[in-house]
Amino acid sequence: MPSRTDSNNVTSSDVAPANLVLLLVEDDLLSRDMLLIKLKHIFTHVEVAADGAKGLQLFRDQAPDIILSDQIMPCLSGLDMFRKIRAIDQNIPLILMTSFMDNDILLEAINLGVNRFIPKPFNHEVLVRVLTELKLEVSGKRYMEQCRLQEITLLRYRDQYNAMQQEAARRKERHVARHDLRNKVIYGADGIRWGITVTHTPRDILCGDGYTIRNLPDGRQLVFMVDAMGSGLSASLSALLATSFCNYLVDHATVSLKTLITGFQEYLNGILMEDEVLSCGFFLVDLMSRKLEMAVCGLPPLLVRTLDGLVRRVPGANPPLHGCSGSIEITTLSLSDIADVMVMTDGITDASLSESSTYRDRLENDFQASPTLAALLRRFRLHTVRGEQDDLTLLQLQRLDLPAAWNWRQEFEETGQRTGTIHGLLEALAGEIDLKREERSELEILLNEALTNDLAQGRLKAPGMLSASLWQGALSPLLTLELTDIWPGLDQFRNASEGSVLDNIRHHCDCAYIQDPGSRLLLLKTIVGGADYAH
Amino acid sequence: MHIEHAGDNEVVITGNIKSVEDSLLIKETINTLVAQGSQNIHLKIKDSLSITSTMIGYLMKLVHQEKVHLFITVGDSRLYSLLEELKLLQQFNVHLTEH
Repeated sequence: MPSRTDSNNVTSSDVAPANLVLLLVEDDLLSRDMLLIKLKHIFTHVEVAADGAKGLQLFRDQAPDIILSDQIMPCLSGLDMFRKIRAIDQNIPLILMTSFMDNDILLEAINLGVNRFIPKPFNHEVLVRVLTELKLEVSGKRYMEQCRLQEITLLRYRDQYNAMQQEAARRKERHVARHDLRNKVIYGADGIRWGITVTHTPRDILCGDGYTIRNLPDGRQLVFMVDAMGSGLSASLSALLATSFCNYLVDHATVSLKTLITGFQEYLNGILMEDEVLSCGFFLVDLMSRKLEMAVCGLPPLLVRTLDGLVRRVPGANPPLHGCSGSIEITTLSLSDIADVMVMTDGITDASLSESSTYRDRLENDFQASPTLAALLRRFRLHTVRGEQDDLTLLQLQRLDLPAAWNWRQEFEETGQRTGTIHGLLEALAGEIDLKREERSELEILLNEALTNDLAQGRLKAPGMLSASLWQGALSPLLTLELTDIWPGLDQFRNASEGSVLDNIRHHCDCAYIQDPGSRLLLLKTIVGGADYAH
Repeated sequence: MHIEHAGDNEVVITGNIKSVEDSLLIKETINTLVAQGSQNIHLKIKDSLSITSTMIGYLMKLVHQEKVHLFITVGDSRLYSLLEELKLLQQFNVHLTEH
């Protein structure tokens, strides 16, 4: 960046001509010619005007960088011209040449922001010094502006680069966090159907939480959830590595929980830093044997609800893992009379409710009221401050066949009966529970969407059947809607799930499951009813 | 959060342990005591309802790698419950006290 030259010592030869344009406005021919001789050593380009009016025109046409003008001229005086120029450009440097300087002219010139004065007749040294000074000032400002623009361009590029990196990191995270059973019905003993839903809301692109839900070849499921304690990239890398290694073990080794954990611990000892700890849980779901084997290390207690609505907390048996962890205790939970199990990271429990309390204080009550993960999450978001939340990972293993307090079903022979069927269901439901108007509308949209999409895609095979049931194990009832003979099977669902077909449906319910084989769509929706959601 | 240490091995914390800065301050204070030769640290957490994960990691390192004998007294039952849920009561010698 050029430094400002000491004006006392500078001469025209010290300053290389810059690409600046000077506008000279002078009516006296002799003075103009003399000035031009001097000016051509300082400026590469000089525009010349013989009076103020022409000067103003050249200012408009040529956009000069500096204006040097005589005061007394025909048509328009120097100051009159400057006044008009200032109305257009507040910053262009102005130099006024005058043979007499009364106070009024001086005052007006100052008020107009004239930058320099040059007395007539000229002292050439003064003239060169003043012009050189201004030229350096203008060049300096130009240079600074150029630098600023370059910096902005660089920042934009960096922003784009960072956004690209973040997107790549997010893709990687999604790639590692697997859910083999998304929207799929899992069969347990006696044909009882189950499902697993998960929500994973990272605070940053890369976060300290991770999970993987894997379907094992023997029909069991392995769920791994991790919360690398600490913050920033280090925790994210640990969570990503741990999840990834867990996936590797599932894909390449025979899975018993004990061998899996042993292998995992060996791996972990090599990657964890000395003050790093990992909260995690391994859950081996064996629905045929109605049991859940688990090794829980430092995760918040599981919330377990029985079929009759009793909620209990099941704390993990182990502290968080670290480089020197000893053997890990495995415990077993019977699923015989269980409606659902909720597993979470501490982003849920530690979220602030106020200065003196955390969501831990009301979690159990909210769980009691919420039969689905989506319903619990709605309550969580209602009570906590969104911007202050940590990474959130919440997983629910839920029984889909629940002891119903109310059942409804209707077959429809042809597509024209669809509307009547939907209305029939809604009327019957409204007779059974307190249904808010918005909920009724949402259910209508949901059912229409489910049926219409299928009709449009030619999947409906009459006769179809719509059935509904209510489970009242949680404080808010859970409505399960089942559309039979709607979906042709899992393969087509896979394609459909990529597009918009299910998006709208999922938007209006808590979760959706596809039964395969069997062409059935199950939609679960919490009914809040007349009760105030917030209380 | 406010931190002070009394004697060679006692660290007293008042206010909530919330931020990474809080954790770093506690770490620095304890590290100073350990560097001066203290192998028994008594951490008094008077009224914090929670503890950061960074802090837990550091205390685990202190206990398991540096073999420092740690004794924690907590004044808020919610923090005690949290440490109980994390199965850390025994490792950190945690006791609930009235304050």
